[in-house]
Amino acid sequence: MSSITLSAAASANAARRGNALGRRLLIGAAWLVFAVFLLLPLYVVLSEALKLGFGTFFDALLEPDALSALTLTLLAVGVSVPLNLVFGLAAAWCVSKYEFPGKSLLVTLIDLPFSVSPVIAGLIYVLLFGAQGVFGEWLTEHDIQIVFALPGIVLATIFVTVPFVARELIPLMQEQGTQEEEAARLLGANGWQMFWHVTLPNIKWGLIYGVVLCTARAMGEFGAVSVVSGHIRGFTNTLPLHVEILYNEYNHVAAFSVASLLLLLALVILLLKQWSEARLSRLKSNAAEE
Amino acid sequence: MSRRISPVIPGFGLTLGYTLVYLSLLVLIPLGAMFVHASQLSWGEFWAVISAPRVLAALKLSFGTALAAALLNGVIGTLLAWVLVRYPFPGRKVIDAMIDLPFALPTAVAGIALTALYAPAGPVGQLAGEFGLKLAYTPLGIALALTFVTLPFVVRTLQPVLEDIPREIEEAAACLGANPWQTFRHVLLPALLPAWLTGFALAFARGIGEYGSVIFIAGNMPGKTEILPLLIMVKLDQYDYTGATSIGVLMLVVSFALLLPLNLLQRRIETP
Amino acid sequence: MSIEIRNVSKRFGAFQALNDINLDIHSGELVALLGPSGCGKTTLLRIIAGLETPDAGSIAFHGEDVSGHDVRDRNVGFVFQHYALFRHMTVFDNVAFGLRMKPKRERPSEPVIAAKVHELLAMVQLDWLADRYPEQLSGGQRQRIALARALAVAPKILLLDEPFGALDAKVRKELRRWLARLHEEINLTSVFVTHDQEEAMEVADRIVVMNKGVIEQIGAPGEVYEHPASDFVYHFLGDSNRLQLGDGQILFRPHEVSLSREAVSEYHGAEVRDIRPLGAVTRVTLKVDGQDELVEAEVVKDHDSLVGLARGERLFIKPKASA
Repeated sequence: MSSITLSAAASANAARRGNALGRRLLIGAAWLVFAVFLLLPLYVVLSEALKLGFGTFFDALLEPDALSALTLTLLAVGVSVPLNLVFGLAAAWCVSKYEFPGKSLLVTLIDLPFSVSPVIAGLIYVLLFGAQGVFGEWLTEHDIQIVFALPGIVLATIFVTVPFVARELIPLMQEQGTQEEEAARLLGANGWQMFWHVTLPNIKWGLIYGVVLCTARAMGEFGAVSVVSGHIRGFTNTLPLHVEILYNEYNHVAAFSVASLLLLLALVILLLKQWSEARLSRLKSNAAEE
Repeated sequence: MSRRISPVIPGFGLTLGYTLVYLSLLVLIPLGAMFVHASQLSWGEFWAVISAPRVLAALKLSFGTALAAALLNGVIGTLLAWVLVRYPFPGRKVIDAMIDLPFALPTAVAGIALTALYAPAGPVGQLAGEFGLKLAYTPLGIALALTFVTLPFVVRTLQPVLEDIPREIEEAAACLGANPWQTFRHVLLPALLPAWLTGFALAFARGIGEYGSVIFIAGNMPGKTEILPLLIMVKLDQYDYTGATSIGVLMLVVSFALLLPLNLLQRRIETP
Repeated sequence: MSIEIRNVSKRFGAFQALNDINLDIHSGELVALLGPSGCGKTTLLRIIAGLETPDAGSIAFHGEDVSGHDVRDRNVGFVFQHYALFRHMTVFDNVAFGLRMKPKRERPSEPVIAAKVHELLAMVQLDWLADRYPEQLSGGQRQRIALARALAVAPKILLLDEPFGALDAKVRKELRRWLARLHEEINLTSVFVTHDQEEAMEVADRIVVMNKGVIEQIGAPGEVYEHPASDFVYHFLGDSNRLQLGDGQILFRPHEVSLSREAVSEYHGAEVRDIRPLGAVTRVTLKVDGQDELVEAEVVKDHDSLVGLARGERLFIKPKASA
């Protein structure tokens, strides 16, 4: 009998050793994937950018074309993100607070831009507003330029970032339910008071999280903007397009310098995202405890 | 007939109206315009565009590399999600935070970085070259770039589901005599499958349409390493709107035809 | 303030939640809406509050029809089942909310609000928690804060949805008595929803027993217990036994029995299946001859018939009352 116990214990030990070995292998594999897929590209961008020292690095960033590209990028972000923020709030409000026929279809449509190629996103605006487009003649007559100009870049950026805020808010607001809003109404709050004092503080972190993701994509959008921009240097180039031009001109150091600026912004966005996500998950775990 | 969840919460008309108008003006009408534009073509014209060998080659390349990348992500995404949820280890938080890098990094930056890495002269390219493997300017390089940009999808859809599976379930399976592999195969996998399919479908859809990260590493040789979105760009540069529209419609129709069954399958698994 | 409910019906899709409800609640009364889940009691409470619109019928407060009134103008206090405290506000801000939301002309100054809030917090004996957030409170504390918040706007009517449902047994008992005392002190018209008959009996002046969207019986706790108007009410208000007598049957509560070791006329022979001491009483499970359905009898623990009793022995049983 004791030998049976012993062998059982031995096999349990062996299993535990096997588990520990498997665990180490899996962790090692995860580190390898992380290093090869995520760290190496980071390293390459920075090392290529600084190949010729900090002087050329900053020259590439402070050159007028780079600065005007930065301005244009900030402008596109500054217009598209607030618009999609308001849209996300409205969409999440009607989807999470009410029942109506066609609701799941609406949710699918909100997500639609995610499954459309960014190049198609650019294409559709060219088809509408380009010289040969549906409104082309009318726009030319009135001397309004949409495609190959700022409005086109903003429209394309909005299209590809439409779902971000709504997607974050819908599940969050559905989970939080409507009881706090009802309580506010019973205590005499009107619609706006209820929204400002109860709803908005409750969804704050989800909202910030969505805005951060939306900003990242708006800042970095390439395909859609590429189609509608016309690549007019110093006028309709955003930062990612500027990177492409420099790269195609074999000005690799400058290309990677501008790229490393975008990389830096991406890392800031990751930090912001991490921070808002942590606040959000704390909120959720508190809600779950109740 | 529309029953509100709570009739005392105002704003239904306003928010639904705004949502519909915004979505229609910016997404639905422009997309519809493309289909209207395409419908003005005769079937023969449309067919002539999409049956060209160059288009068919690009179609195969785009869907093939997107599928390969989604499958590869299905494996390494599962690995990363599992390790991040189940094992405490040094660097876990850093890896967890950095998983989203491909979403935060502009695709053009990813594109030139990966090209520099995988080009024959680049550090990884050189290493692969010693084994006789060419990465950049081949379909393999395209698939690798797509794997990078779609890496977060599977990880991020699996993580919350894995976190929700109580450890007791694995312990119960072990007490009933299942070995780790059997536990994974029979207990965890069925629970993870719907989320895995979601992540897979998202990665696949994004991969088909991806442009910025691919064009630098692809080499863009017509018929060999030219992806569909690039072909649309080429047609547009030649002011061939008919060609661009036809390819756009083809792309959307084929991806929805592929994603719809995937969606249905996922819903069927979710609601037994 | 009295509440008059007239011919109220409500349906959700194919589900008839309330069917032609008529109910008068008198001023200052504490009424329990009692019934199993899905009986429509919460829907009725929400309709009184104005959180739900009835498909038909009307609600009047003290003779004045409030059916068309907005939820803000009804001036009812409402305590939600899970309290619905504003999670991002302190206890103080939660209680002050209703006062701060008043239109500028009616809004008291901040010092007046502060005094009022502290008075309410003192009343629910939680003044020391003013700066905490809801997540830092226990269930019972949250419950009392929710009550203080509802009372802050000086409502004429207090509505409570399963007020003790989310609490553990001991806290529940304490709060129950506390609420009954509080009701006497502030003398509001109060209505609360519960599925627990013991809770309804202990707290309420009158009980409204509901089932499947209709009212089965309205009466004082003793009345509905002693004289149930239907089989449903009888079964819902306590454990019950059924004894088959030829063609008919009688219903009786476990404590409404006489037990004997000796065969007596009118007593039914039975076999002892189980004996459970429950403290002051002991429960004996019996299989009465000629009937498959088991019968439970509860007698004081030092009852003569229990001395030396063991499973498998024979006892004789007679229901005291019949319904």
